[in-house]
Amino acid sequence: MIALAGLVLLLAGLSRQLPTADGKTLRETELVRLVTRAGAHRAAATTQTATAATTSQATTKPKITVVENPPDYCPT
Amino acid sequence: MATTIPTPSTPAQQAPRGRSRWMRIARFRHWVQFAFAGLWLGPMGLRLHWLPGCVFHCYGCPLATLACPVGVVAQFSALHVFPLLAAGVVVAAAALVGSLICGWACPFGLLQDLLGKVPTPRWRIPSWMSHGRYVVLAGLVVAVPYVYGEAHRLFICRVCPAGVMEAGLPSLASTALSGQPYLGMSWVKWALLGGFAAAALVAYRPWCAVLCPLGGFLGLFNRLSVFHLRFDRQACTECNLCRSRCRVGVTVERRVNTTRCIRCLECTACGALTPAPGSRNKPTPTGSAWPSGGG
Repeated sequence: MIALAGLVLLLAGLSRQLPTADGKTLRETELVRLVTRAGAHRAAATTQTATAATTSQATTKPKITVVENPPDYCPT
Repeated sequence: MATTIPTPSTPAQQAPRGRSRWMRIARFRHWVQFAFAGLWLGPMGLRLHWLPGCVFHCYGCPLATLACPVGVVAQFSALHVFPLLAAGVVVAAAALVGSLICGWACPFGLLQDLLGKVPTPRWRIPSWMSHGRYVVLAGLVVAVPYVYGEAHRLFICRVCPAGVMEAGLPSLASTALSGQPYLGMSWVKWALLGGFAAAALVAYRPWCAVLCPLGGFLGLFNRLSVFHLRFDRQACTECNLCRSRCRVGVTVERRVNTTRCIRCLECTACGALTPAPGSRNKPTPTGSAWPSGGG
């Protein structure tokens, strides 16, 4: 049962579409590839803090923003 | 704090060799580890970084085939997105074999096993220190990225020894070979590298035993996984072979599927312990012919 639950999670992840800051969608597989910096076009996903315009209090919900041509990255 | 590794008290207590076919299989464990390492290290230049693997292997490694599930979970935590793919892969693998992955497939475990071949005095890591794995999992993998993002100093990838060895050192080498200006690693990375190497020379698999968040998570499934170990009390002759062979320090006959077990199957030498694939673990009979001890 647990293995099946894992399989369901895996399949859900394969078909998942995530919203990005520019209103587009991104597949989860693509997001994994981006955060691991292995893309052919060397893109990266970063977090961006959205600021509420009407108040001075910043919201902490990050938006997925695709950044083209980031510097070379090493997780260390 | 640390205790020396026990050995069977007399030669007469040595269990008959060759009794367990699983032990014969376990003799090939390092070969299986090398085979898996070949799989994780990009055969034919495969780069499947869109898919998290189920072992602890840095995706910053120039030869990495799959993405590191720990790194992916941390990155997704920073994005406040639940990592369905990484969770699915790890949960499915854990439910099937539990921490068998640690003992047989993890390349970082293999690295520590190789360092463990160096003939130095060994100390057993106290069992309570294994809780550190869950501190790392909850703190550095989930909470710190979630609250502070990926730029924080305690983000798991920035303090990960696998990252230093598998990504930092190759990056350093490639920079040097290509003639580019030396960027180097910070003193933190060198300290991580030195500390890890020193620890691996005096203790068995220190990272796995104390800090590995993936191993801690996989170990949680040891009692539930399809592949698990079973202790046959009737077959036990109290030869002490299982305890003496267990390099992790598990009191095998009491807590056979403990979260600390890496399932190297060395304890199956006497035949009282057998892997039981395909069937659910039966409860161990109460009472023990053994003196009590921590597991």
